[in-house]
Amino acid sequence: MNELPDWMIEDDIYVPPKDGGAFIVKTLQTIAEIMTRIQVQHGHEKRFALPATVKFVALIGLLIILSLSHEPLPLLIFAAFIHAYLCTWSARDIWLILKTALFAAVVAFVLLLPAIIFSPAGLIRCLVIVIKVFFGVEMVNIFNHTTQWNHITSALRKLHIPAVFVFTLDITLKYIVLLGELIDGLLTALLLRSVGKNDGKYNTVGGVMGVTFLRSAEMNQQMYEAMRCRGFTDDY
Amino acid sequence: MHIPENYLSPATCAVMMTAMVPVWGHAIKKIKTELTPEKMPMLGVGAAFSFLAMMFNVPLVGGTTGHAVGGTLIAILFGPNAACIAVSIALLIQAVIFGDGGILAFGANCFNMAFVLPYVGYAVYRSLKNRFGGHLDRAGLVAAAIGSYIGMNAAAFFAAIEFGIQPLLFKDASGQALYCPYPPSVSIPAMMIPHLVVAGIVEAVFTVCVLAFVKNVAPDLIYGEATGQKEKASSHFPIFALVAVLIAATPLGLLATGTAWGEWGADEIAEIETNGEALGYTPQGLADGWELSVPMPDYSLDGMGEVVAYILSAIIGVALLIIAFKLFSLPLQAKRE
Amino acid sequence: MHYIELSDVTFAYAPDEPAVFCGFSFFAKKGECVIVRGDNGTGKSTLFRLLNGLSFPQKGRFMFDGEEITAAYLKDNRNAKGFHKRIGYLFQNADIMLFNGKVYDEVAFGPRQMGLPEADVKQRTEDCLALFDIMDLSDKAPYHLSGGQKKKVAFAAVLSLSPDVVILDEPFAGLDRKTAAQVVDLLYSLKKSGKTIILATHLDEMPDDLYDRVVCL
Repeated sequence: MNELPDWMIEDDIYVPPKDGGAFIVKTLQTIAEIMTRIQVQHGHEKRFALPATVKFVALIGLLIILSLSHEPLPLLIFAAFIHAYLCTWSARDIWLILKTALFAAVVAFVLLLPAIIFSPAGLIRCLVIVIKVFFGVEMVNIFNHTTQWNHITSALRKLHIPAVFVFTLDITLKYIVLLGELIDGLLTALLLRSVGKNDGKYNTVGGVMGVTFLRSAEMNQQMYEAMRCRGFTDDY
Repeated sequence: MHIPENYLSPATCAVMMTAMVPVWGHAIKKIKTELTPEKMPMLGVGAAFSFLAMMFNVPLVGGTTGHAVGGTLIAILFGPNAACIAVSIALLIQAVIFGDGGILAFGANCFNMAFVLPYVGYAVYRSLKNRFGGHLDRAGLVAAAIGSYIGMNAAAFFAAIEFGIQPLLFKDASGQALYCPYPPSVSIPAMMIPHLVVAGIVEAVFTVCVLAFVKNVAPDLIYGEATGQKEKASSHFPIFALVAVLIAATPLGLLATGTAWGEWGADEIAEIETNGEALGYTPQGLADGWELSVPMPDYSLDGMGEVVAYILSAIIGVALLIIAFKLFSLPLQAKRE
Repeated sequence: MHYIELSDVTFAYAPDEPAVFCGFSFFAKKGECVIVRGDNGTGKSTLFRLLNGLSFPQKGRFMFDGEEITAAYLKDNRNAKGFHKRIGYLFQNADIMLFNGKVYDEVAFGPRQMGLPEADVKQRTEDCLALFDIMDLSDKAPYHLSGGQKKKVAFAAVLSLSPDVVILDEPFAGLDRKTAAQVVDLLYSLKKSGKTIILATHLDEMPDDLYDRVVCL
């Protein structure tokens, strides 16, 4: 074993340069959010849970009705039912639902603002759209919050969606977690080793996603072998 | 790029969904013939990769970041047919589990990002790569950059058209748009400028940097590189033709359902062209009788019984009060914990 | 106050999850070699996350060289970079640390960022490759290496930054005898040169005179 080189023994005084590594932190946050959403989906109510299939069909039905409703009465009915149901929830759960719905509504309002300014007569219609966006996001959120994702895939299976598709969907959810953990690890290592100005940011991005792709190809092979070992016969 | 709920009419969503059915069928059929059984789980793995790629924050100038769709990249890595299915599944998960992009708009989002983007991007990549001279590494990357840029913008263009036809086809009796209010004269530049200037470039950069890494480290894992098989672009012609017919037939289908078609006359189109920069349908004939102050009172609770309105208002009021109360107590709870 | 000190730390990953640490304290003096022992799930990786500034205690303090390390402190990009430069971390799964196309670039990744002249970068990279006797891998892709080789590359990449503190999570896991002996030798040299070492490992891998203290979680 060689002795340590001098530069490693000396105390070096290092003043880091200014450089944005924001993409690392941001992506880490996004991935962390995804992982908690998929892994720990604490369903809000389990006691009177409707079958996921029924809920899913009902959700789509309600979304279509909402989309077709332009008059105040049906919208008021939506408002009444959604919020009457929501107010029985705990504050933290309500906030989870409302947060994204409010955000979506604000975005919708900003998007429609030019239309309102140029054509004030369309004000009511634009507000109706904003309100519908709000209700729509609330409903999808409520569905997500009360349904485990594995129930969602079995709901799709019962709807006679081709088996290849549902099988693939299952694998996808599993691999989002596995590959997500991988990206999380890679970016954490990258963050800890980001000590200055990275002039090759794009090489680094390519490296992180490239390694992820290579590993996903590897996992694919392992997965197939595991399936064969358990008696799978290439019949999707 | 993800179209949320309620910007497109259900009719448009249904048409886009219908258009996707033959596309998916074609892709699955193709995959079954071109992928060995051991590559089948690849679809799920590819979809997971696609999902995460869409979540990746790509660094831009000065600490800002942007998102790529990665459609062309996935088409190059996994093949265009596998990309179509993989991106569709990624979009489905985003819509159903994460509420990103509408569930009804799922067909439209798939059409733009899982069909137009990967097939166009891949077709451009393939033809340029062959023209540049096969195996030169740099040529492949340039082709990928151009392919993904064009693919992204093609997808944005279709999204813009989907938005743009809404106010032309779907409006209420007074001529106000029921869904997206921007006609093509507004929606196309509004979508295309940011995509031509920023999003397309993010897409190209992301595609090239990932592809460059994979090419250096394990080129044989890229679709079609190991076997040297060359896919003929013509193999996709039937499906493109079918979809083109469907798109052309869309307005006819709407005519049959009688949705406000009659109002979309020649004069309307002319009006859109002349009022180019503003909203197409500044209400010329309507403006006089339709003021801002008019709508709410007599428009709203007109057709419904007062009792029903009263009950509904009561329910909404009480529910909102409870919600407000609970939310106010949230910070206090957190403090206690 | 010690060089590295966690005092009376409480930490949970989420408000509704059970706390990993409750009133936990840990310290390491400058130049010390501390072994952390603990079964799976006793918070070893959480401890390392705290020491690397990846997570922050909800209660209690984390002090490093007279500076309190908080989320707010590390939010300043330059503080974070300076802090990460001084603390090197070798992941248990070294695989996950490698995202460059070539071993040389992997090891040069850190020094390049520090704005050193290219000759110094080259010097540092080659020295680190030499320390592990892996000069011949220089042009290979880390992705294609064996587990032991990957670990050496990752370790070399950590040392090329010349950190003051080296944190190692199970550095001997998956290494053959010869490589493990090589790493032990290297730890002796690091200790002699005054680096602080914190590592999670089994005691039978470590000669008695190499470590100063054992902390059980």
